[in-house]
Amino acid sequence: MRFFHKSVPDSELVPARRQAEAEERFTKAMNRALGYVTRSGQWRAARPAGTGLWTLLLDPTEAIPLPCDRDAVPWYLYAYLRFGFDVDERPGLEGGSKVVTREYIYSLRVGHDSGGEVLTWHWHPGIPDAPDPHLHVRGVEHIDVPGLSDMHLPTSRVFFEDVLLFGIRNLGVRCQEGGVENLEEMRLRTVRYASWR
Amino acid sequence: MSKPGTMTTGAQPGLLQRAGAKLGLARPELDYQSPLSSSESRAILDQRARANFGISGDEFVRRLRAGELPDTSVAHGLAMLAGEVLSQVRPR
Repeated sequence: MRFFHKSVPDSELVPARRQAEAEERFTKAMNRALGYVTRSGQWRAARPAGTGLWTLLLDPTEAIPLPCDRDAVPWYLYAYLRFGFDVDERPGLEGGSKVVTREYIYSLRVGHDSGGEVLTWHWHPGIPDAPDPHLHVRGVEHIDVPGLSDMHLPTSRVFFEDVLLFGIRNLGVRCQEGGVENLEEMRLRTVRYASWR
Repeated sequence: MSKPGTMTTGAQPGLLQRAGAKLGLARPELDYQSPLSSSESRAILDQRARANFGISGDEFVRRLRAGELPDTSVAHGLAMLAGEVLSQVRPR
């Protein structure tokens, strides 16, 4: 049964037979999402040197501009993601290989430099004092809450599509015609099959 | 397959697509990029560590393992690219 038909190629509705195939599909899907808002860069996968986790990185630079409305500030996306593989247990895809996200950083900056970071969603379970998904809101101050911008504000799992949709809806990030609907559809599909959220 | 960092579009883009391209909005038909080799990853790590911290990739890893890097998105991201354990990034 097909629940999604617009943004999901038929080739992705059958099990990925190998990890390489799962990785290729994952990278393509992430690039489909990114392609709705910018053509200034793309995700690339980096093989681990050993048997560790793979990394997705933005290329050609780690912070890529997001075309915005004229009156919006120049937003940039900075992101990395680390992933591994698991046995696919989704209905209709049993026995295949699927990508499982293990860590992510999605950051929205004003301008290219890291000092312009405003919002950044982190999930890095390897850090003992902040193992759960969280948000940093940089540059905010409150007289009664010192260090607010460095606090780990708890969130549920945040997907890449969430960040793009947030930027489109709130920050003046432009989107290709029909892109919002496709990003929403991709997000629903990802959430539906996510191993956790 | 396109070169790293490039995207390809269809051979005969429609009017809307051409107009969108001028605005930077056209949806690219992305070629799949083969995964970076470990040597390419090291080269990118080195370039990004120099750009962000003014140090080499090897020095970045050394400082990461020594707990000498700040708890920032940039440090986290480069640690991922280096394949290092993030718990070595010490919050400050």
